Amino acid sequence: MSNLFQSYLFSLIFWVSLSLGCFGLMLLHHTIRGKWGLPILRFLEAGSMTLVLMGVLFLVVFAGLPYLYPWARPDEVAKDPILQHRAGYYQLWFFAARFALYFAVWILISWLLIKWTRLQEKTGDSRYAQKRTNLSAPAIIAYAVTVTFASTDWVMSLDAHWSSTMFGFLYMASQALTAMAFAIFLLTWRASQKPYSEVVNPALTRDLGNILLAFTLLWAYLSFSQYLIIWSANLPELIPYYIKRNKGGWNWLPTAMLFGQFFVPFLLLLIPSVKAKTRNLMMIAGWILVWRIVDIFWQIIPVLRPDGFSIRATDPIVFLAIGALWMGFFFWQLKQRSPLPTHDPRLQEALDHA
Amino acid sequence: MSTQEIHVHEAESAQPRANLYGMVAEFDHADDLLHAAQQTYAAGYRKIDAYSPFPIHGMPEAIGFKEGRVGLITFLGGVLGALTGAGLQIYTTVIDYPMNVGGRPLMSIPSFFPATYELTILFASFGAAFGMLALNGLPRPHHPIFNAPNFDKASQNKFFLCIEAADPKFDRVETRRYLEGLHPTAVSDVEK
Repeated sequence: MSNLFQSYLFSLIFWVSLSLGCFGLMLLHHTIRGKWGLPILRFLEAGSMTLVLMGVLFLVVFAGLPYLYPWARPDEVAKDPILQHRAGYYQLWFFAARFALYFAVWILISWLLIKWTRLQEKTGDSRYAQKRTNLSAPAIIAYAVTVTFASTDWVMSLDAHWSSTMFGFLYMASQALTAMAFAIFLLTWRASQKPYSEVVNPALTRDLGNILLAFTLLWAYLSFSQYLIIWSANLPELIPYYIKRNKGGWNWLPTAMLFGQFFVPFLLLLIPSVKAKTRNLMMIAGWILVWRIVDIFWQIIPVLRPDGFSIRATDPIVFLAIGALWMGFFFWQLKQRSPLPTHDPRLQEALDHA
Repeated sequence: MSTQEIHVHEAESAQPRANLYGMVAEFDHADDLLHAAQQTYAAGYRKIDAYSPFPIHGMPEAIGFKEGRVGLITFLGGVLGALTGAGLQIYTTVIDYPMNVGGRPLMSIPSFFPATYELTILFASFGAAFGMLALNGLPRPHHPIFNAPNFDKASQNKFFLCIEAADPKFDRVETRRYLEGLHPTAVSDVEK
């Protein structure tokens, strides 16, 4: 039973991260209106809508709270003053209310933005673009606040005493990296099919590759900063986080990640000719997605399985099951609308020229 | 052959090639320059350059500009910076003056990262800035293109296309005729 919930939480956090990454990138696109965001906007919109599904799937976690979180085990709280101090915050109803609030904010903003894109496409009224920008800019703040609290609630609190102030930001960077890699993978995968073939060109793939490079760097920078600060301070409340994740065979995961998640994509994405070819970019994006799974696995599972490195059968099964639901929902959403957005004249220009 | 004859001969074919840097055509609009550059490249000229008051989208491709080596020099600068940063810290704290800091091992790689990272960025920036200058042949107090009439307008409101005399296809008469066919506002010789 506890295996099942461990696998479930790990899988859920990965897929929620992908949804939230799509959501965050959509906010970014509507705020700055970069041309590079248009070809992947539909992926971001459909990815944001999967938050509805993720909200429902998250309810299962409530059934397994004591299997996962130390604050949900009364006997453990009884002998731990720090957990008692935090008990007010981690009351079940408050935890549930926060969960409801996060998803309400995310889904409401997604729904409005997608509605305004649709209305603009139907009516051609460019005032909707300004409405989206006006909502998206403050929504990025709401996104930052909610993701910080959500990552604290769902992941940070797995370690009874641990805290890290950059954890929320690390999650945002990690989500953006996941979603960017996912969107680039889909776009480059379909690059030879119409209508994508008409908008995918070396200038676009170079932009997308550079953004992927920037998020790779941001992720590495934040991951390492967090590690360096905690390693330097060496405090008894903080250091166990890394000790638990670096013993009993777990240590080869971060070592592998240093190369797999950082050096390999970083060095490859520096080369201009790599970014000019859709096939190369697709392989790098796919590679990054695999390492995103490893990273989330390493953050969540070691504290739940302190006896040493282990992958249980439930891990891949539950991961793929939630993934299948996610993909089903995503492609169903994607099919509802045209493959490329039609509201922006810049993209229409590119299509007309083709 | 008298000196008189030589003088006449020179006047016919104008000055000898050695004194000529190239030939420049002047345009009023950025689009005209872009089209002229594309056409010139397609016509087989390779040693061409375009001068404009602002960057024109598509111009590097139009004049056949290849991706430079600045990126590679920047990368090598970064590698050198990383080696310098790591080497300096390892040498000072492990070899030259070992000191116990908080009971940590002397070779504490995480603590070497920030300075290594900073020097990587610094040397990469040096590579980018100085590599760019070196590849452009800068600093350079003078360039023949400034001999072109009206060239000060290249930083104001005029657009210039230059075909250099070093181009294998360059010919005083043919190239002038060709440039005039692009409908510029003026075509002039540029002396060295």
